[in-house]
Amino acid sequence: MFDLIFYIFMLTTIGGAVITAFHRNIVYAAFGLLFTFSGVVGLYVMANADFLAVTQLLVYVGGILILLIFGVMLTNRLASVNITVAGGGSRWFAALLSLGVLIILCFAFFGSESSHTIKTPDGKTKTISTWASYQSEPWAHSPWNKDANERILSQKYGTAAEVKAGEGSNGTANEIGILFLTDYLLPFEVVSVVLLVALVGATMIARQDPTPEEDMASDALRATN
Amino acid sequence: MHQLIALSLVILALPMVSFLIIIFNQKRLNHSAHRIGIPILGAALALAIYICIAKLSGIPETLNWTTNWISFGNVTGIGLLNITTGVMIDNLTAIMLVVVTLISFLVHLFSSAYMHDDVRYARYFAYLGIFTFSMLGIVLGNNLFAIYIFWELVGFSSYALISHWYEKPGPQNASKKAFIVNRVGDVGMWTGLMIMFSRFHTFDFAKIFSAIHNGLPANFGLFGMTPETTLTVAGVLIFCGAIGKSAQFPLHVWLPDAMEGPTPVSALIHAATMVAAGVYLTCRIFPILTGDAMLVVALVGGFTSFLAASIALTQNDIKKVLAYSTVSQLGYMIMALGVGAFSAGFFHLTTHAMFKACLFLGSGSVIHAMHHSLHHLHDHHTDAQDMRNMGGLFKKLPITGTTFIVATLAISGIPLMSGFMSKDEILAGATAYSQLQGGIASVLPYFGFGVAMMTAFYMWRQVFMTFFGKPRKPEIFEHIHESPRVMTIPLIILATLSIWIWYGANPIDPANGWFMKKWAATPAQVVPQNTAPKFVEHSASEVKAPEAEHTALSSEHTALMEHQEILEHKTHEVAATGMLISIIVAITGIALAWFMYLKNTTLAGKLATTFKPLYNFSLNKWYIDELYDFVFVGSFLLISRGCAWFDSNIVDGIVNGAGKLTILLANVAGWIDKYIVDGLVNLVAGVTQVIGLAFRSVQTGKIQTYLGWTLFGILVIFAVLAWGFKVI
Amino acid sequence: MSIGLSHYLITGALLFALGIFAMLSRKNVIAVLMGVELILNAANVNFIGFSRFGGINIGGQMAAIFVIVIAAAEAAVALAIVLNVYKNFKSVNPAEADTLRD
Repeated sequence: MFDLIFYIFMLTTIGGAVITAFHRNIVYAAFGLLFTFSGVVGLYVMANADFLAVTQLLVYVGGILILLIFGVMLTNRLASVNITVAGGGSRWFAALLSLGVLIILCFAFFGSESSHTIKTPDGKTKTISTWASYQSEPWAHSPWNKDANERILSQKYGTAAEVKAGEGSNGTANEIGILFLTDYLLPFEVVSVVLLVALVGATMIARQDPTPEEDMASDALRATN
Repeated sequence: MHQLIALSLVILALPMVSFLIIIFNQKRLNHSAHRIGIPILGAALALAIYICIAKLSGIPETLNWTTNWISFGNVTGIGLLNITTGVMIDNLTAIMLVVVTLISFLVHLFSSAYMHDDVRYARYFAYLGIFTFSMLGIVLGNNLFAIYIFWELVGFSSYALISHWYEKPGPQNASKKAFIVNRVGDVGMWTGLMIMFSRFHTFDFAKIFSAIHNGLPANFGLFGMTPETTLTVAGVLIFCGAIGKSAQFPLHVWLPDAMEGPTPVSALIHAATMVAAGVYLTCRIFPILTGDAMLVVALVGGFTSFLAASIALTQNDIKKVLAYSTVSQLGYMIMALGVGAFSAGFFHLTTHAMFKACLFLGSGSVIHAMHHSLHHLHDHHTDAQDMRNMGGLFKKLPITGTTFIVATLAISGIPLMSGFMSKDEILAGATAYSQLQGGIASVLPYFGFGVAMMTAFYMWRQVFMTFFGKPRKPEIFEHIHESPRVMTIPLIILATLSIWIWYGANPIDPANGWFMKKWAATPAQVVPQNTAPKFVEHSASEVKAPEAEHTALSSEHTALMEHQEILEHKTHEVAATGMLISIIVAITGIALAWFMYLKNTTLAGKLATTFKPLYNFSLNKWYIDELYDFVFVGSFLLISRGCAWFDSNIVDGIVNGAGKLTILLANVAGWIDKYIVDGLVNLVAGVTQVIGLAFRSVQTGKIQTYLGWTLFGILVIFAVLAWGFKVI
Repeated sequence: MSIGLSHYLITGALLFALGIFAMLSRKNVIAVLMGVELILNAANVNFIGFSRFGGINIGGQMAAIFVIVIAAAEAAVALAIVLNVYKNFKSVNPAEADTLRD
């Protein structure tokens, strides 16, 4: 049952993405994107990332997608033509490249050895699966991530393993909130500044440059004040 | 918090409110600023009168309210250190509240007409507000630090008001002078404050007094001085602040120059706010003044009064005469405090505030009339303040003239006037003190009576020159008109307050009047017995029986009170004689003035030529300004020139040498930069250009193409990483 | 085969490839932006996959959240740029906005 639901979500995601990438009508493409985003939400839920799922729903479906549709409406005269997107001459080139990317990715995931050997601290060698080795990768212990899981989880629920055993019963919002104000405080602050700057910048860029007449009018207005 | 304390805080806040409202709405209010200022000050005056009546009639004890201001926590070596501030209301405060708010209110009223055409009308009223606020702060403060803060605020606001017409160089310089000269005194005051604080860790009057009363701590001495000497030094240093603010010799020079400000401001400065602050401070620190310190205070006061009176004799500017008379009267007050006649000094402060405000506003009224007349004649060169342009104005200015004469009667000490009562008490006190103390203090009565005569003379000289005789400039005289009612009403109020009845029932027995007897009783001195004035020992035998018995009981407290009682007794003894002499000298002075300026008008000129050196000495204010200019400014300039020479020849020489060396090095570096570094850079650029030309055709400008090729590159790298090395 | 990391990775890879294709081939800037969104989502799916099955636990979710934030900022700025491009070139075809060539 779980698998079935997963495949449904996966299908929604990929199907939506295909529509987005291939449909000639830009409005249909936007709706395809809607399916993709919703499907991804499902995938998140299946992976116990409930907070993220909600965020995805709010930000992507509620925000970015609407923004894109606004963009469509602002830049296309819907009443007239030119709403479709004709395929360009570089389509084959694009298809080739994206296929290449897909192959590279699949190769990176599955093509290499399915297991490899690592040295344990006591000097013995041990063969583990590729997936398991992710935990021993350096980036798993980056400054931001270092001990964070163990500490947060052990505080609340016990060891990481216990949490894994009982996961799904508790939301992740709590841990994420704590992490935001502890280990991820700096990125959190930086990203808020980035958002603010983006907001101001977007306003600046999209602003109508006053035409000369308007310029004069605003000057006159200033003079009266 | 006692109800009166709360009310007094409201009074304190009111002028500040007026200031804030006006200063932030200058443009909007402009010429209706007085509509804010006058009602607010009127309310403050009403509250002050209420507090005064409530305090004087019903509450004998001192009201004190203290709050923590700055808390330093536990300081090493001191313990818990808190700086407190608060409000103290005793009789002095209550009376001063009324004096300050009354004068300020009347000045507001007067100014609304006097300053009517001024461009900075609103700003003027705003600063009147903050001036009143600062003075009220001094009056209400219960500790030296709060007083010091408001003290400086008074300095600032007087600076702002004196320089009201800052376009002219006169007011500019006068305001700077007032500010800087006051700073000199304030340095002394601050040092005294710090001596007190370093020893007692508090600024609070009550705490300092009780601490000294309980005996000076053994470590009180500074720089090897005994504790007693240190106390004297501290007292004199704090008194230095009063020397500056109350314009005592040698820091009196700023006050006459401050006449450059608008006349109502002069009235405010001279009567109620600024100069009164110094006397008030001396009243406040009176309990901790040792005998030696009091002698210094008395001598400073006595000499100042004599100096200023002698200068006032020859001045021709109507306001300058009044200015020097203020300095002289302030000297009186300070002298009174110095000789221990505390209540007489404070009494004179109050009476003087009334009649001096009246005189100043009266002179303002005259100047106003003169200005209007000159304006009418389109004459912009004649000095409206020079008495030589006036004469006979009484006919044209009846109200101003009458009130002016009433106030002049008061200042010259004619019976039935307030000035007579207070001045007489001071003279009696000074006489008694000089007899008891002997030595250098014996000059004090001569100063006192001499000044009384000179005061009568120069004040009546002014009256005769201004209001009587023939008009010296008939064409100006023609167009003189009486001032509007908002200007004359304050004059009438103040003149009424210059009559004796407000201060005691019997005009020739002020010591038993309610003001001195009940309201302004001398506070007990807290200084150690051995530092009290010297006459305690050797005059004990002179004291009559009741006092002798009293001292025989000699508990510690009565011993401390002893010298004051002796003084009071002696004062009673000499009062009658003193009164007689003072009436005689006053009438002599008036008669002289009448003879010289009305009866025989040529005599003054003749005398001036006969005693030319003396006349010039007085006219040029004893050359004190010139002396200061030469000694302080001159020596400072000399040092500055020396520094400038050193700077321009030696320091600049070194700097220039370093500069030349740098230029040389820079030239070498520049050559290297130009031919070697730039050569390399140009070479790189050239190579890049060649490569760029070769790849130019790839650049389509289409963003997607770029993206595609980028991805292609990434793929190639991946491919090489995955398979390439294996193949190789 | 029960659901595991590989499923997520495959989904991510497909999304990524489709995003690349959209970015490269579409003749409408808005559609190109949609491609970018697809790519960002692909990355997120991978993060979540690793978070659930790869052993980095909550760290992957944190990264995904930051990606979402950046995506939001990017969308806002990019749309503003698109509007400006439309105003200047009277077109939303990225191929016509080729002044980068000069």
